[in-house]
Amino acid sequence: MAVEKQTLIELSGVSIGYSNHRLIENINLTIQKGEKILLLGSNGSGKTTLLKVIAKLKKPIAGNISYNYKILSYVPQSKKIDHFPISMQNALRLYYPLFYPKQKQNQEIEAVLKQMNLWEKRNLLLSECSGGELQRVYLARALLRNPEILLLDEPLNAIDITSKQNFLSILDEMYQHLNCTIIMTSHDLSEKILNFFNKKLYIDHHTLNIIGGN
Amino acid sequence: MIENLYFYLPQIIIGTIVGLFTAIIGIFVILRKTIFMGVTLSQSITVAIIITLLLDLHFEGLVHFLAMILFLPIYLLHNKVINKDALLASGFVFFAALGQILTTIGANVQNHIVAAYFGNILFLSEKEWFNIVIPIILISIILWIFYRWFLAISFDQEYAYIANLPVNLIETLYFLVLSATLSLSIYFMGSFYSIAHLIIPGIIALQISRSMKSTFIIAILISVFSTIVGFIISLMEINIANTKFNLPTSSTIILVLSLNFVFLLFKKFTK
Repeated sequence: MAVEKQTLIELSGVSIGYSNHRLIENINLTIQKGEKILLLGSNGSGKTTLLKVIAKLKKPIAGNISYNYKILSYVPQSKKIDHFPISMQNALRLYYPLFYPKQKQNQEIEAVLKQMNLWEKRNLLLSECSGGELQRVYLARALLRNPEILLLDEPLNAIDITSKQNFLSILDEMYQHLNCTIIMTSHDLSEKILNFFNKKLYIDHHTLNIIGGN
Repeated sequence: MIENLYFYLPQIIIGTIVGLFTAIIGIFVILRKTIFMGVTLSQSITVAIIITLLLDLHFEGLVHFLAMILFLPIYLLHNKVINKDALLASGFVFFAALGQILTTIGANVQNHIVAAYFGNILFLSEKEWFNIVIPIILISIILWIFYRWFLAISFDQEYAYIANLPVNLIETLYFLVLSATLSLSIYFMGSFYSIAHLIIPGIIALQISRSMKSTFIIAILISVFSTIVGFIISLMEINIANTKFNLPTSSTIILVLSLNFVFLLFKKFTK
């Protein structure tokens, strides 16, 4: 049975970066529902900036983008949190609408923390979390929005091999469940990661190249 | 001393209230790493107070309005310049210099300087005490409603955009609450008292607490304790070499507050 493809984002002739320093030029890319896209490139090549343009956090310096999604979520690069005394479950509450029922919040947070295998550690402060745990908290926060598109910015950086495998299996489970589009940046070229994604993009010399598709 | 304490009870209550609200807002200022911005804003408020003193139009609403106008260029530019700290430092020295020049222009210079930098709560009229009521009610309502979203933009502002929170509205409300609290605090207790309350209780609380709730409670307790103890000490008559004098209120409170900080550092380093 042929599956109807739905275009969520279309970039035509897009350039990103700064007026005096373009990171990627003339991007022509279509992002469709259900795709799992891996974005590769060296440090400073523009991977994070491209994710931010897709998330509408930054404007492109040239070209057109059409957005056809309703809900997008984002897992940022893991930063050490050393000055914010907040537990996992309270950190997940922060981005709810103001008068969202507390009971519903509790149910949703419990479900997502259980999915991430973090429920037992729900009262742990974020400053006490390991890199892998922190990434799963950010993923949990992103999933609370039931996104159509999930952007992940180098989530596998600074975590050990076991945590990487754990993270990928959670991501796969989540993909099966939500059937959302995943776009992830990474430096990691291990087989397991490459096999997980069905489309690979590589930034080289200010150009975005598609090196693998369905 | 007890009679003095009774006589100055309204001032003690007012000083305690503005102190604790400044300490609450200070936690957001520290979490957002905008201490320098808070300190520069406090200098623009000090200039606004000096202007109202010179014009003999000394009421809190006008101080807040003038301070916002003075600080607006810095607020609008601070996210657009390459070096935020350089802009804020320039603003700080500009407002400090402007404040000093304005006090020199006006008559009764010494009193103006003392009022702007150290507060003059002990000499404010009963009518002026009530200037605190409406701003404090408004600040409390905004804090109560938007507390969680203030924390959200402090924790991760980019994600707040992603989650479709009205970030610009939250930022504006936060800035209004911060400037209103500082205006009140400087108006009653002076610039140095306000900066001390903006930073010290929050820093201590964040070092020792394990939740946001306890952070706010500890900061409030430290602020209230220091204000009351500082007030009481300043009302005691000190006799040195047959010379009787009283310590200045705001500065005594700041010293008590600072001693809390020194005590915390001592405890941390001797652990």
